[in-house]
Amino acid sequence: MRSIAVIAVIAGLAFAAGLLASSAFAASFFRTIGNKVVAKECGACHMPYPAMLLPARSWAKIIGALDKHFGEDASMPEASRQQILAFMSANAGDSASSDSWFMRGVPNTATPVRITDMPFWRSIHGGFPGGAFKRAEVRKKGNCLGCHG
Amino acid sequence: MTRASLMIVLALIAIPTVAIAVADPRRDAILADLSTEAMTVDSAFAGFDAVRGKTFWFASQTGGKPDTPSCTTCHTKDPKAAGQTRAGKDIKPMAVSKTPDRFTDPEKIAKWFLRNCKTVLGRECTAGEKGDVITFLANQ
Repeated sequence: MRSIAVIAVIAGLAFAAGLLASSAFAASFFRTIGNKVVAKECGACHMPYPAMLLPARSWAKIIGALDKHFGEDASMPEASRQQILAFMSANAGDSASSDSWFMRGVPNTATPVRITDMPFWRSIHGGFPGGAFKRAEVRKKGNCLGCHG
Repeated sequence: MTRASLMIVLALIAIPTVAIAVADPRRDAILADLSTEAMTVDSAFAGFDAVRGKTFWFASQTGGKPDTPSCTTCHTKDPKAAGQTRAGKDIKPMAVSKTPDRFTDPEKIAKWFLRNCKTVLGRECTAGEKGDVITFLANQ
């Protein structure tokens, strides 16, 4: 019985350490956007999302319809739009440079436009109670930095 | 010059000084361009009006998206306070006294009026409306 308790404590500590390490990783991961136009234009309304969280076809769909962007008109000068499209496509989750982990479970025929609809996101966050995303420092599911900041 | 008339003269000098406190040549140039544009559309145009801008700012509009009926939906009813985008990000106060570089970048102005007028009114704003709103917020 005592050994079980010790194992449980060790497992708990390891889990906590893992969480800390992963959130430290996450902070730099979510904050690093390697393109100034993306950081400025996308970041004006919401945190700029890392390109690898969606496949290139999703970015093309989103950036191809900025006048109807999740209920907002996010249209911008064509030169900026082209720069953003090029950067997000080149660094998308299905590009050669990205970790394919984010693309797991996404059928080639699907073009998800919400990161929160991606199987990787759901597998990690799906079990959280809805209230976890309503806290003042989070406000929206799309505000990754509310928890990973 | 009597003491009373001297006071009036001093008061008249002081009034423009208050307005100049938030003036910026870039904003003046933008307003001048908008004024020219407004005159080409309406020959009776007689200058921008902060009161008209205030009414427009606080008005509940129709024609746009039902959940964003007014400028104040995102910018709040206090121009000196920070607003919030619909995605939850802070918007710096629109009042020029709080955010002095407001309305000094023509591209930024064009982009945001285009987006926000379409969202709130379902159409582009006129040069007159833009100039009135900028004049109102420049004096806040």
